[in-house]
This record gives sequence, structure tokens and C-alpha cells, in this order.
Amino acid sequence: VITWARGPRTLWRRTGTRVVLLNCQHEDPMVLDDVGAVIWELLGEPIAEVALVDRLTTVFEADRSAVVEHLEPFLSELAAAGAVTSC
Amino acid sequence: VLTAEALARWVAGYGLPGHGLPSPTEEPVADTVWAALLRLVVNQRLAGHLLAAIDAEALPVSEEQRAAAEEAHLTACCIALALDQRLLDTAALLDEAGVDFLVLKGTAHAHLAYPDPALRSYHDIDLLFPTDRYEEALRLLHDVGHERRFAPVRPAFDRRFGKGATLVSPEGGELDIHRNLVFGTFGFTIDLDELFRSAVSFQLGDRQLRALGPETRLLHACYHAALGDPVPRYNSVRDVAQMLRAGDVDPQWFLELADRWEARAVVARALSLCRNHLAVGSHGPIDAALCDYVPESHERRAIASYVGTNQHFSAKVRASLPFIEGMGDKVAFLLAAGAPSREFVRGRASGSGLIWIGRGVRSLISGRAR
Repeated sequence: VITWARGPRTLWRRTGTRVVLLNCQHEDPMVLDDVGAVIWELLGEPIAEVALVDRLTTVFEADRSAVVEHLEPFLSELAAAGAVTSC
Repeated sequence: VLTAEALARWVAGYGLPGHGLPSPTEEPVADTVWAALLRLVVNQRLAGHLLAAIDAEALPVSEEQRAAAEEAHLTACCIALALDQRLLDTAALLDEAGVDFLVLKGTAHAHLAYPDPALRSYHDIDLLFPTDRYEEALRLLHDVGHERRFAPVRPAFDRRFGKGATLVSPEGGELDIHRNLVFGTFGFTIDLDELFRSAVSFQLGDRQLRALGPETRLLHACYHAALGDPVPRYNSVRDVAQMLRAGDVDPQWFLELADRWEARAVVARALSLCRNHLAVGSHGPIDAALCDYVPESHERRAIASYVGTNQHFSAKVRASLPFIEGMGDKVAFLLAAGAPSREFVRGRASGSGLIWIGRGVRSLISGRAR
């Protein structure tokens, strides 16, 4: 079971429906729009990837397979930027 | 006619308990007024409050106006995050050298006084050091590329009587380092040890940083709002109003400190600015205790030396004398202040240093700050 959490050194602010992140590994901030900002909120506490998929499927009333298809590359990108961690 | 200024004032108070003023407009304002409002909001660092008012549908805007407000806030957030990252780097440097420090002003207010740090924008970093570590901190920061924006009056004056220095980082950002909260006057009666005794912690990224405690932080906000600018900045006044309502200030302890530090006139002016600039009513026992305070003449002169018609260095020096205990210290202060270095004079004078000195002499002869 993979559990995801916000990176402890990631600084962030909420602005309207977006979230802006800054990590010490990168000089440029990263802006998460609507769906990304919701995922960031859900990562406020460490969360199992399965549970994250469940929550997003409910919140967006979306097809589960579509959520999985989009979530994995999104989390991988955040992980590569050092913004989130998994274990 | 609804002006951008009136709207900015409403935005500055938005979200404060007791603000309670209805939206100043039922329709989106004209684009010309909006453009002026947005300039004011950015300049006065109110982008967080503007977006909060728009999101809560308390201020009607067009789609374009909303997009502009969102962009202004996004920019403010990016600046604040970059500063927070730089603060963490600086904190690591100071920790390694074992130099104690407190985070002051915007960064501390954002993380401790507001329900969401995104509401409070800031454009620089302010750190307070114990007097006996101040020079070491200055040296450490110089070693990693920070340069002083202005030369000190004299190095010895800096150590004993100075407020602090503005440093510019290699990337061009500002870092203000302080050994006191105010230059001269009211600064002489601040218990600098109490500032560190009062410290509280806040989380930034993966570490804890320290800032002033609730009462000393509110006092600092009052000094800044009351003495910082002749036309007070809305966000400085908002900080005072915000902290008065944050619920963590012990009013009795605050009033005792204000009394001991001879800061009652400063607090009274800050409270008056809250009432007049943010359109919020009196609030709580601090307001009740000091709203009718009548400053003594030396307090009026001291305040005027910051925000009156004569703000020259010499006016502040003269206004400081009643606040200095003991003839020895008064003489030492006068002698040190009376012989500023050439570099200091050059940094202060827009033209010739002689003109600056002439202005100082004139300000002493022609009288007191008003």
C-alpha cells in the first residue's frame, strides 16, 4: 500500500481555487489548479493512494479508472519535484 | 462617489470581527476605479484581503476583475514563499553559528496573527538579534554576500544606540536586521531582554522558528503603525486591529508593558489609526484603557519626529533625550549622534552631505518636530 504525504520542506499558500508550492529543490514555484489544489488539501494528512482515489472519485463524481489514470502521473510529478513523499 | 481609496479602506478592514460594514457597492465598480484600487491593494499589500472579500461575494466584481485580483494574490504568494525559503536558509546559517534570533513583522504576523498566512503579504524579512550577538550576525550575513544599504552612524553608535540595518542579499532581496524595535525615543525604554523572554514558536516548512510573544508582538505592531510612515500603511494598521482581536493577547500584561516601556502614546495613536482608517469600532479592554489617552509633550514631540513635518535625524536625536535615563547616557548619545560618519551622511543626503547637516542644524534651531 502506497501512502502519500506533503513534503515536510514544501512551503505553500492557498490562493482562490489554486495552491502555490515552493520547494527548496526548485527556485520556481509550482501552481496547482482546481483539481490539483483539492488533491493538495487531501494530502494534509498522510493518505493511502487507494483512499485518495476513493475520495477524488466521490468529490468529482468521476470514473474510478479515469481518476487513477490521471492521479498517478500527477503524484509522480509532485514527487519528482520534492513536493510530496511516498512510503 | 465611490473612490478607490474608500474601497481600499474597506478591503483593509474586511474580515475583522466588528468590521461589519456592508459591501460599499452592489455592482462591480468601473474599470478605472478598479485599476486604481488594484494598484493601492498591491502597494498596501492587501491582495489576500481583497481576494477573500471577492471569494465571499462581499465585493461584487466582473470576471476580468476577479482574474486580476487572483493574479495579484498569486504574485504576492510567490513573493512570500520565496522570502520564507530564504528565511529558512538564513535560519540554518544562524543556527549553525549558534546565534539566537526572532522573526519580526510580516512573516511572523502572517503565521501567528492571521487564520491563513496567505492573507498577509510581505516583501522583506525582519530579524531581531540580542545586542551582544548583533555584530556577529551582521558579519555572518556579510560573509554570505549581504551588503548594508546604508552606512552606520558610527559602528560604536550602532552597537549601543542603533535600531538595526537594512541588508541587501546577492539576489537583491531585503533583509532587515534589528537590535531594537525603534530608533531613539521610545526605543530607549523598551526592555530588549523581555522581547526574547516573550518568544513563541511557529512552524515554517520542516522547522520551528521563534517570534515575539503576543503582547510584545502587538506592541511592535503599534510602534510600526504609529511611527512607521507619516501616512500609515493600511496593512500595518490592520495588523494592530487583527492582533487585538486574535484572542491570544493578555490585556493586563500588554497594558503593563505599555506603561513600563512608556509606549502608551504610541499605542493610543495606533488604536486611533485603527478606528479612523479601518472603520472599525473600539474593541476590548486595551482600547477602553487607552482610547482617551492624552500624550505628554515629550511623547508628542517623539511621535512627531517620525511622522510630523520635521523627521530629520537631529529631530529624533533631540526628541530622544527625555527617554534616556542618566546624564552619562544622554551625553554619550548626543556625542555619538553628533558626529556621524561621512558615509552615513552621504547615504542620507539626496544632494550634498553639507546640505543634510545644514538641515539638521536648522531643525535643531527652528525647533522641535511638530
